[in-house]
Amino acid sequence: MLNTASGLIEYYTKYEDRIKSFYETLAEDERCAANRELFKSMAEGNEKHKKEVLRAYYEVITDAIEACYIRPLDETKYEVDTEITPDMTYEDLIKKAVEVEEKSRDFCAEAYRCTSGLLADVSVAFRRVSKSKAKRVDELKEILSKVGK
Amino acid sequence: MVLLEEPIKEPVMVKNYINGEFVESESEEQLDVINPATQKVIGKVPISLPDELNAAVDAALDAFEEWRKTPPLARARYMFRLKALLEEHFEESARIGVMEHGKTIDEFRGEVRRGIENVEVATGIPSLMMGYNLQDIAVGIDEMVVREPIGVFAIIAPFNFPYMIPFWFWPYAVATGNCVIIKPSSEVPLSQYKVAQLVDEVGFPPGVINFVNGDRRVVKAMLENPNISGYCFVGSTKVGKEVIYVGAAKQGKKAICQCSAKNYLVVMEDCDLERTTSSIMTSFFGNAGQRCLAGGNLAIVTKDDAFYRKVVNAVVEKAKRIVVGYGLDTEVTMGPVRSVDKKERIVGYIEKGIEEGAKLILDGRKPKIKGDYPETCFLGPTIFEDVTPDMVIAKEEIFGPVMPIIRFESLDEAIEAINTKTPYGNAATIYTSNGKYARQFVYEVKCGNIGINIGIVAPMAFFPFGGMRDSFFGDRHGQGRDAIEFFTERKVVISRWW
Repeated sequence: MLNTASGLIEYYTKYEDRIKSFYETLAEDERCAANRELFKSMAEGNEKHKKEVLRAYYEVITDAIEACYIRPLDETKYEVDTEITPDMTYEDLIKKAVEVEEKSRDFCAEAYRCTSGLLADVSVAFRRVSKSKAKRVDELKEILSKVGK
Repeated sequence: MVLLEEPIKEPVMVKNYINGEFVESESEEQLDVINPATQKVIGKVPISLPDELNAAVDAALDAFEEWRKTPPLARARYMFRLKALLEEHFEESARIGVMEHGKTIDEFRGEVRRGIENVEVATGIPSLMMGYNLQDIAVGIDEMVVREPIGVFAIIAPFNFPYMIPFWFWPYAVATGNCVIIKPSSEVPLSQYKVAQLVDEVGFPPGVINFVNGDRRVVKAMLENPNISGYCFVGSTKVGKEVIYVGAAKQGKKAICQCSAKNYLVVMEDCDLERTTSSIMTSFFGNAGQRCLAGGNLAIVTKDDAFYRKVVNAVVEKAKRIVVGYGLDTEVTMGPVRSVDKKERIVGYIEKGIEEGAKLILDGRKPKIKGDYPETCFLGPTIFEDVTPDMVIAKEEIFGPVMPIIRFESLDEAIEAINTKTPYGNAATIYTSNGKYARQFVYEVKCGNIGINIGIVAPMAFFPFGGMRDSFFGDRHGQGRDAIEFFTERKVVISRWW
């Protein structure tokens, strides 16, 4: 359970890095050759998301904004499975990407709720990232709908 | 759970920084710097000799004439370089601070950010330092006001915000063309030592910024040195008023003395209770209550027993969820208090509250500590109810994680208590959604920092840090325009050209 802003930031940093690494691997994977550029840009997007949240935290955190306590966030609900195995098909990989994006979108939405009211800038940053991830879900679902057609 | 890496691996041997060089003190007296969570010695700090302080003042005085002639734009650029280095070492500084002081990593990151913000404001010195003028005050005659630096200033820092508080003053002093001697708190000198190293890396001219470590003997030497033009002090009212302010006044010197507090947080029935109680938690228990802006008394204004009970239950429930432990553990929401003697003093107040007849509804004297740390400096949140404004625990600054709860029937009664039952006027807050109550509070309360639905009324760097009555002595405050005015003299020039 995450109960402090620092705990949340620490966890989120590693979380976003893991997803970034997942997309970097997909971009190099021959099974996803058709979407190489997309996955590269998604990995870059993860880096941007992380920087946006970290900037909001480190650049506005002050002792005046009740930074320490957040509403508890159960991070175990949002764990992402980023393992890629040789037996997975292109469709499996896109499905996995959709799952990863949905979980991380929901994680960021929950982080927004848990920090709202106390950590305004961090909260707003999480909301923006969550919206960005929602668009990525749509984009991946669009790709998935075309698989095999 | 994440336990962040400690940046200090071996005890740091603190040196003075005088005339652009790190020099070992010749004093044989040293103090251990102890991590209050682990009780490990993480540094040693000298109690410098008066001659060492005097040498720093001589160096500052020598540097002053050149430094004051350095154009403000060039002085600002030193500040930009310093800001970049402070950012680069942000996390390291915050973790050093947690190790020396005990507060949580979130709290110390906040402290570092607030320190840097003052440097950012000081980078604007070419605009901030401008005077003003008027043509033709009489035909052919013009008048103008110019601001000039004054000389050498002494900055005396407290233990509770070891990194931030010196920054309330010295960036403004130095950017306006003065030179400074900073005396960090001898209990917590390590984050300032890091700042001294970064100051050295920036390459300020030797003597412009000096750090001299020590205790009250260094302060005494500062007060006796005729070449110091003014003092900036943050600490207790007793020392601030009787030693610094009176000492400065006797010599016709300037002083900013920001002192003790007993801040009321007033809860009205129409407040947003969920957010209010969260805000109250940080105010009373953040920084383990060791801040001059901490909640000192929780005043619940109501005739309704059910509302009163609801607020009390909510704060007790939230306080019980506070995780006490080492501040580098990211699950911890309250660290230890700074030292054993401070803990004993706080426990003394808890015992006094019991003796006075207040009802102890949450006892923090035997806290559950997360992790395997000695309980030496740890306290949990403590809450009293049935407190009256005349009790000692309601009048004196406890400077620890203790919440006395006082019930009032009207806002008028609460304001009366704030203005008359404690000599201090540092801060006060009202939690309400009613504009009329808020306006009355702002208008009538005699405190220098007023919060409306804000638990810790900490002014940003571009505003002065307020304070009234026995919480402040002087006529200009730290930070912002007040600091610019404090560190400069205004010269009026009237000119006529035949």
